[in-house]
Amino acid sequence: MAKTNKSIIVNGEHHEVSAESSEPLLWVLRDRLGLTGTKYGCGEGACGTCTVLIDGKAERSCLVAFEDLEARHAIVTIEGLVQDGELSPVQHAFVEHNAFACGYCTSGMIMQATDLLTINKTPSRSEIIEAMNDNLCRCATYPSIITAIESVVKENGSKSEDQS
Amino acid sequence: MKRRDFLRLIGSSTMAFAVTSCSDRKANPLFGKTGQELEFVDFEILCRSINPIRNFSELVLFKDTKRVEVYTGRSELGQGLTTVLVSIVSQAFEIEPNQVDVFLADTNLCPDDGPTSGSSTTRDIAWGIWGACLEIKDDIIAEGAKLLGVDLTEVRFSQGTVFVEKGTKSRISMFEMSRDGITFTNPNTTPQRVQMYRDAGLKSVRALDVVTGKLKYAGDIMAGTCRYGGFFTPPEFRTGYKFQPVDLRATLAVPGVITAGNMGQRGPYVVAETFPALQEGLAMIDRKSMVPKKNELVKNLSQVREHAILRKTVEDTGNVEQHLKSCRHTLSETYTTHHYNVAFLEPQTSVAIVSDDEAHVWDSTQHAHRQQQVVARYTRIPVERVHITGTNVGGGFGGKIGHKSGAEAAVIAQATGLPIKRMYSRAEVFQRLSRAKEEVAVDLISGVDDSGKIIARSANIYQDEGNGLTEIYDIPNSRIRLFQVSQKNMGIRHATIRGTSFTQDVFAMESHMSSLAHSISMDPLEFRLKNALWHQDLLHTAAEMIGYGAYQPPEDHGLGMAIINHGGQQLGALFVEVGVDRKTGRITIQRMRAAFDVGIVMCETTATIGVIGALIWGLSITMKEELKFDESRILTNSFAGYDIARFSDIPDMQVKFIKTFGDGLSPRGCGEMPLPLIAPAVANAVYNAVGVRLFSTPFTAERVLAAIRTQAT
Ligand code: FES
Ligand code: FES
Repeated sequence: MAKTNKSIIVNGEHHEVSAESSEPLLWVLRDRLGLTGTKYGCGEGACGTCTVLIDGKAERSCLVAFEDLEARHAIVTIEGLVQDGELSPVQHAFVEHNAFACGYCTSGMIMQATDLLTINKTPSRSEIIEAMNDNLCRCATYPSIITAIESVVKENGSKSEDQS
Repeated sequence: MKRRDFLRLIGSSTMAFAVTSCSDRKANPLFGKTGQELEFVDFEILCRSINPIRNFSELVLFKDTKRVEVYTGRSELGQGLTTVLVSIVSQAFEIEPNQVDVFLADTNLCPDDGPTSGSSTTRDIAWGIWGACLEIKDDIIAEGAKLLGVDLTEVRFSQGTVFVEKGTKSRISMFEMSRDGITFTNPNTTPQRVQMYRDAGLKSVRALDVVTGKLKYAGDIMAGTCRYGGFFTPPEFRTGYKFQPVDLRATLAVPGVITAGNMGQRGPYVVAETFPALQEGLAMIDRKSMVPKKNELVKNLSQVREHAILRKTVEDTGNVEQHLKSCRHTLSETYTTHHYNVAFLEPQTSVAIVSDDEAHVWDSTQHAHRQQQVVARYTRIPVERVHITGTNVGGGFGGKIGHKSGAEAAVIAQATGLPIKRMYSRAEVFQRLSRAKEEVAVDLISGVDDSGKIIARSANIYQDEGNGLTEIYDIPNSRIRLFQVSQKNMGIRHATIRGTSFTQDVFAMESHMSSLAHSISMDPLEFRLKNALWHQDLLHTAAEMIGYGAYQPPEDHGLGMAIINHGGQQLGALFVEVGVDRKTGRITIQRMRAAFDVGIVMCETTATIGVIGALIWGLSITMKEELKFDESRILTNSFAGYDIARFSDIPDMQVKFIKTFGDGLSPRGCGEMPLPLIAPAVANAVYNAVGVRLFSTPFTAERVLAAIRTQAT
């Protein structure tokens, strides 16, 4: 089977990539672009460790085939969240609240939470749980992750109050 | 080897070992006022007085880089070892945390400190490092005074520097002394107090790397530059499995497959450019010629008892038979448990480069030095030429101690001359580790007198591993026996998952305790308080946390409790509130309140995350997880068919650490102990809610509903 060549945008940079058309984005990122922050956990969309943003929306990169990517898609991985040397608010909150143990699920958790907080700046606790529910953490750091996300929500809430 | 000899051997200017601190006193608002009742002690005086040098394996050495290096063969599994070590060393010498480098699990750099398991790493390693630091500091002070030409009483130590207290402003830093190549030889100097404990341990020192995706796990090594290799993993149990050479043409035709071969009894292997191509190549292997032997599975409890042989008598006091006969109240019950999978999110992964007579393996392992032996055995390369670099581990839970991914990567690398990454697929994690937790059956008979005092108890535990239980009740006539059910007959091999079988034993014992209390119409808390050896304070604390006695649960809600003693070191008491839906059998855990005595808590944030995580693990295996098997196959091969605890399962949880026994001064570990409390506490709460006793795990809605219906008929 011939490989497909195409240009994709990852973390704001164009990359010329050659890969099997069925190859999941997860492995393109990890092995062809060296972006290993995105992790393999199950390969079937059931754990969330491979979550990235595609056009701002959280997607399981293990389920997105290379052939389905288009040049216009903006892909963001955990490595792309740092802007001008600054952690994103979600990354910062995960540090502040020690929201991890082994850390293997953390990239996926942060990407999923980033998606949630982009759509809804001040989700309730139950909205957080609903949005995060398909991301698994075997170390079961769920309570700290909720606290971390809630701290960003609080920050967002006070910002919007300031603006009003 | 004497510590100083060891030091000379490694050529360092100074070193030492031993203990702890409690740097983090902040309560996590999520979990309530944790640690409120812990006594904070002067760790320095403590470890000098107790046992400053417990372990010669770890090492702190100063180099002329103004940095302190710490070495241990143990691994970072997410339990916070790196953070704790940085915290300890920076506090001991009053230097910045970023001046401390921690080196873990590298067979070329670190001594073999045994496996990273059994909640022992903080207890053994961190304790050792702390004492070492203190001893070195004594040496530094003595040496500093000498170099400054003053008496020892005239100097003080602060921020890594020895000062002359009065008069001159002379000073010398410990790094300068080290650069001068001075060897410190006298540990018996006057103790100097470290006045300040800092918050270095409050946040993980790995945090920035974790949240930016930079933290390297084994799978991240040589991304894109090595090849993926793997062995065929049969879906059948491997017991008695004989591999025949197979035709690999179909595999070799898969795009991206580079090579494939048969490797004797290790079976067929495949090497591919990418992980998906490897999986496809392995899937193309024709299994027709590889039918495994059928296992004789033990199907029911009477067969289990029939096949069992006495393995060990853990406890035998008094005359159990005679007193059971004479007791007015006796209760005989049997409890059974189920199989579950370790299900860490990072599958076992290793990367190997092998040349003629040397191997270097990066491995996601809980015990690098054991992996070194395994790789040497597989490759026949002398062990001293096998270098294992332990990487960060994405969850271990006992499943990354004896795994074969490193050895398999190495033999494929050896056979092909290519750098090989061996990463288990999720299905392989299930297939290779689902021979994991055994079904355990426990037969219990207890006799109680009219006052509620337990007079006699017999426990027969059928399980292939573990040491059974430490008795936690004051029972004058007690016998605990462990029976082995041979692996062949069980058809399922065993491995350790987060504790060695006591999870199952505690379920039986603590369910039985509440059952026994009910059988004599006694409150289960009162019954435990009357009979427990050491748990009274913990029971009172956890009972108060949940409002036991004062709080009346609504209809179909109930409170349950359980206590545990893990290896005589770690004690815990848990109370839970559950709600039971009588129509569906669904149990909802509403609240968990737990009190633990784990000795000194070195870093409360890490310890709290650890015990909360273990409680949720317990919830997960008790309420949700169950592996399915048929005669020869493991049927559960993915997360799609195997649900573990997720966000929506987390109840309202609070934990407290308290001191109840001993000097309360040494760290005793806490990672495994909370987990077994869940099953009995929930079973007891279900009984309290709807009057139904659950004798088998997991507590699926179907099982609970069946029990409710049986009771109604
Ligand atoms: S690896 Fe993609 S969801 Fe698990
Ligand atoms: S922190 Fe280990 S899996 Fe989430």
